[in-house]
Amino acid sequence: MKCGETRNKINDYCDGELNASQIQALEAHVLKCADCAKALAEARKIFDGLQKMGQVKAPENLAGDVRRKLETLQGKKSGLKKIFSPLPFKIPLELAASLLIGVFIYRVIVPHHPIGKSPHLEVKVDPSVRDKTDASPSDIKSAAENAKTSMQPGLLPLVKEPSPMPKEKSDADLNREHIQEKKEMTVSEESPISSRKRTEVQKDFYEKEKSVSAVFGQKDMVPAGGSLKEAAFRDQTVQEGSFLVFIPKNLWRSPRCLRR
Amino acid sequence: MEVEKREGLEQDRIWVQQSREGDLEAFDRLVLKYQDRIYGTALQIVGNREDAYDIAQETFMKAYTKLHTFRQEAAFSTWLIRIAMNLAKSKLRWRKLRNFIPFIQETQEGEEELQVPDKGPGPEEILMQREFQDQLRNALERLPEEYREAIILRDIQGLSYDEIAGILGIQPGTVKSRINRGRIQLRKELGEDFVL
Repeated sequence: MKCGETRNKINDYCDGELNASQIQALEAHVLKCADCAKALAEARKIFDGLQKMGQVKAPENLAGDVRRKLETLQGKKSGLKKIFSPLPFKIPLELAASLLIGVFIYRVIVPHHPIGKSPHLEVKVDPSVRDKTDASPSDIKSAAENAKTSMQPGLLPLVKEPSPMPKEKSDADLNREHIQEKKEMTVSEESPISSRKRTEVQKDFYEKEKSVSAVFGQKDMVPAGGSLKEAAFRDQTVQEGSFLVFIPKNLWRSPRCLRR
Repeated sequence: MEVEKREGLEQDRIWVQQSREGDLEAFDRLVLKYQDRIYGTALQIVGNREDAYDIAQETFMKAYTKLHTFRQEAAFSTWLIRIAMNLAKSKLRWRKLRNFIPFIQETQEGEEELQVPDKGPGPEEILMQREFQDQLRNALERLPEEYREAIILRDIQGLSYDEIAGILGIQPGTVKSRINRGRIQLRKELGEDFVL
């Protein structure tokens, strides 16, 4: 083995990477060559020095500190678990979410408009019955039929949203509208019928209502006002003819209505 | 030797599995087994005891929280050292960014901890050894990072080429090449003042 080759293999020799024949060859050369012997001694010293650098003991409290930190970490995790699932049994998150969404939809999205409370609702009176205080049962029946056919599920029949007036209108248009409005009697309008006559109208109303209920014979439909009709008439907030407005029963589920 | 190593790996595998199931006692055993190596590696890289302690602690914490990502294909020790190396290197980078106290001065503070004197050397010999250790540490610090980390893992921590390749994410051939070049450069760095 020559000096160049020996120098190249000195580190591998110190590192224990050489095989038996290579070790023998290197040691034989080093015995004869002083320079290579010096290089080998230096390499060994470096190796020993590096190995000593590796003989380090960790501080005694390291393992204890790690353990304490891990216990704290686990404690925090279990604390969070208690917050998010305080019950002894598990409720799937999906079930909880769907229940929440269901309640939200029922309470907020599905509209509950108690009659006469919404500012957008107006109860119109059928003109065919309005002026006939002595309307015959056949009149009532036809009016009721009209109301029945015009009714859609979940919507108030004969309901009109107030529309804003167009900016520019001719006088003739305005007059026509005025006449039209007069024809339509709303709950907010004062009845032109005198108080004496009103009592008669009320009596008549009860009779008509009975007929209408008999005509429909449907349990899920109640005349406007329903059980509230007496109070409405006593307070004179509902005029004659308002019995023609029919409300599906399922709209009366709102707690706000029940409170009335 | 091989049998011992295999038994050690099997024991690690059991403790790792138990730790994954939340057994802190099992993880304690792993900490006790590897704390010296992890602390030592961190100390060689960052050069001061305080940072090395923080890194070692952080390494074990990270290892515990990320234990589910550890695949049993590699040795646990290799995985642990890789975490420590990455933490130590990022600490160094951060320190360089902040122009922190130079590495050399800090290492001198922890010198007594690092010194492991041979049995029975006289005071003069201890002094010479200490001087040489200083020289060696300074020379190591001046090496390029890729050589330095290879030498730390091989010559200081005594890991195999394959383990180092796994830790550094490079081929074993590249590891060997870096170690050889690193050793040659280390010798040059020590210069003529080399104390024999």
